[in-house]
Amino acid sequence: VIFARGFKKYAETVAADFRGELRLTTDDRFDPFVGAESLGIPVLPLEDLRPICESMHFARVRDGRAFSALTVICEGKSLIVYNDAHTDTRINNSLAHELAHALLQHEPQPFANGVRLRYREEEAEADYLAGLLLIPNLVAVRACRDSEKLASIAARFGVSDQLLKYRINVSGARRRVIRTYST
Amino acid sequence: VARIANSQLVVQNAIYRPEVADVKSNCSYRIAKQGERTGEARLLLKRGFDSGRFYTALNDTRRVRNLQWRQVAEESGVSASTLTRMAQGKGPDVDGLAALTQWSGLDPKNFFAGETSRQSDLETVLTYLRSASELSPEEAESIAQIVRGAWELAKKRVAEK
Repeated sequence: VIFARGFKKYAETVAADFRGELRLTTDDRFDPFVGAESLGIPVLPLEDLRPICESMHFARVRDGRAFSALTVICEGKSLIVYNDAHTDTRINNSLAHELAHALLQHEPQPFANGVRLRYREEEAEADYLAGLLLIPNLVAVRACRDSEKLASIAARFGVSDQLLKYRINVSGARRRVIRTYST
Repeated sequence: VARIANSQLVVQNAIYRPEVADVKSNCSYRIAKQGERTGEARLLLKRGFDSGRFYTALNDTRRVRNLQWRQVAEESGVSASTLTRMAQGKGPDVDGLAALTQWSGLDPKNFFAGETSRQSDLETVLTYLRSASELSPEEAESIAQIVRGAWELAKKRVAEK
């Protein structure tokens, strides 16, 4: 995906500002629950919907792999529901993704039942900002330099190895490490 | 399923007519004006300012000027997180409101809590949804139920406030 001009730089500013507001240093882990609270966005586990949904549908969504999280925007106010049957690292990523949509103030879409919304640039943007919130560029550089510690760095920041690798790839960490060694 | 499809009506936002803020070339005048705005903003925030409604008007201004939110943040100097909080009804601080008033040319006096309701009798279920890209029809139907459930909870929360 090719981002709009200036997007990456803006996303870095947004992530740095927001992490700063939460008083996180580069070494601190981003907790999406704390982030949501700071933004005034309630976050509910899927479990809370059990009493108001048909059990067959509820079970299918909860136990299936398909559903990670959603935000509904009612009269301008957001509410996030996430799949609490997923692993913590996946939940962190899903919630960071939803918060990224909110921070980027993406236009919410009318929900079209059964019709898959086309993959939009907004999804890629939200992924990018979510990554920045969870793993700052400097952490990606560090992980790239010391690949043996990849798993422990991922665990420390509450993300999957896969997400950390994605951040190393998109942050340009590799280029930065080569540059450091060659000078 | 049909119920959800039927409820997809279009929200008609009130149309605000934002005026483009005058560009003042006189620097000292601008600083004085800014001080005045900050004072005014402080007063307004004390008296119960409806940031959610101000945000909606700001969004309309943005659309009229054909700008991205990113540009609003960059031009006004107000952070994305502050703008996001406003959307949730959490007020901006004095400086933020003053900066946004200046940027938009909107009159903050028109945004007192309780003066006019944002409510509309038409509703659209609005979402960001994170799910697998390939859904079976059964999965899609079940997820639709969850969306509807989440929507009901969100409506209840908004009504409670």
